Amino acid sequence: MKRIIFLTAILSVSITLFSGCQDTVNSMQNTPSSMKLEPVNASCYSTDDFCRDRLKILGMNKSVTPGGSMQIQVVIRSERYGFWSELWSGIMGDNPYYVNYKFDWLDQNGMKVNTANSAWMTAIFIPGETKFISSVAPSDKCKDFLLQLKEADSK
Amino acid sequence: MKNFPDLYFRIFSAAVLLAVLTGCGTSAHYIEPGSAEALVTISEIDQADWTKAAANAANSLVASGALKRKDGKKPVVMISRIRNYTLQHIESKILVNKIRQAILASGQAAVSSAVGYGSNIDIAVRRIRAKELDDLFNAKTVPPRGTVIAPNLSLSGSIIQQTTYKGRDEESYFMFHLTLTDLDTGLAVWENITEVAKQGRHSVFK
Repeated sequence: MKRIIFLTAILSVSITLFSGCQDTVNSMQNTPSSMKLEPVNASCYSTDDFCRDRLKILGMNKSVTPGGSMQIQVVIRSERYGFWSELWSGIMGDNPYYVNYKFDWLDQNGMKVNTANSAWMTAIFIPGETKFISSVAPSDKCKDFLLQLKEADSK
Repeated sequence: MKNFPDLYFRIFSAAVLLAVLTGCGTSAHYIEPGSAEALVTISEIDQADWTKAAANAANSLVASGALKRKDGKKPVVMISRIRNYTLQHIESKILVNKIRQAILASGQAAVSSAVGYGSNIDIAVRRIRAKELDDLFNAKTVPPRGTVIAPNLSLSGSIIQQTTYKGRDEESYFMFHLTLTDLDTGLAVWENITEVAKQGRHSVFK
């Protein structure tokens, strides 16, 4: 009996120490904000429940740049904080969390415009961190876009 | 006769070793440029690094409005020198070509192939004009002199590397710095910096 209690205690302490060693991001923001946002209505198609639960889309906004092209900014926060999330990500070795994303821009006819922007990029999320990923339309004729996200290896 | 089992054992061992060694390789396959499947090294500029630098610069340049002139005319950009301050031979043309494409696709400016640094120019622009006295050519079809449009803007830059070692750990930091200069005034009208930092631990046996 004593042995079971001892092992349980050791395991609990190990788990606590293990998960407690991870760094998470704390943030603060002025309220009310003075930003005048232009939100983008978007439809989402999710095939990866893990990625969907680990990242939270806080907003998707657009603006017109001085060059006349449309700019999209997506605000994403890593939701992998808290005891169990940190424990699991620590065991799986995916802290920080690597995500690949790609913007594709479409012209008025719905045709994809090939440009340097349309490539897979990597974003690295620390638990609780908020990232702003953005893309500028390759020309002022492009008003539609497709954003794709996927989990990536941390190699 | 006595050595036969030993011989069989050696042949069998060699066969197993060969099978294991050949089985360790992977067949050649295509990958998506810039994706997570691409190889990542510590001390070199990899495919994903070029992709990131080009996308970042193209986004910034098109968004900035630096390519738009007040008179509404389309400016002409020449590609000048990208200086290499890294420890290796690099192909900065990978970066330049993507930015050239982005400038042209934006419709905000034209890119000169008549003047520039190194392989960013097309020597045919000059060579074809040398054919005006060549009896092989109809002189009326040879582009006349004095028609090439001089650039208004110049794109130049530098790629810088700093490498740090600590024990078996190695860290490389790369900075891609691009500048667009107004050739009339000599003033920089746009600048962009992309940073890439990579870290890894070397094997004990290396």
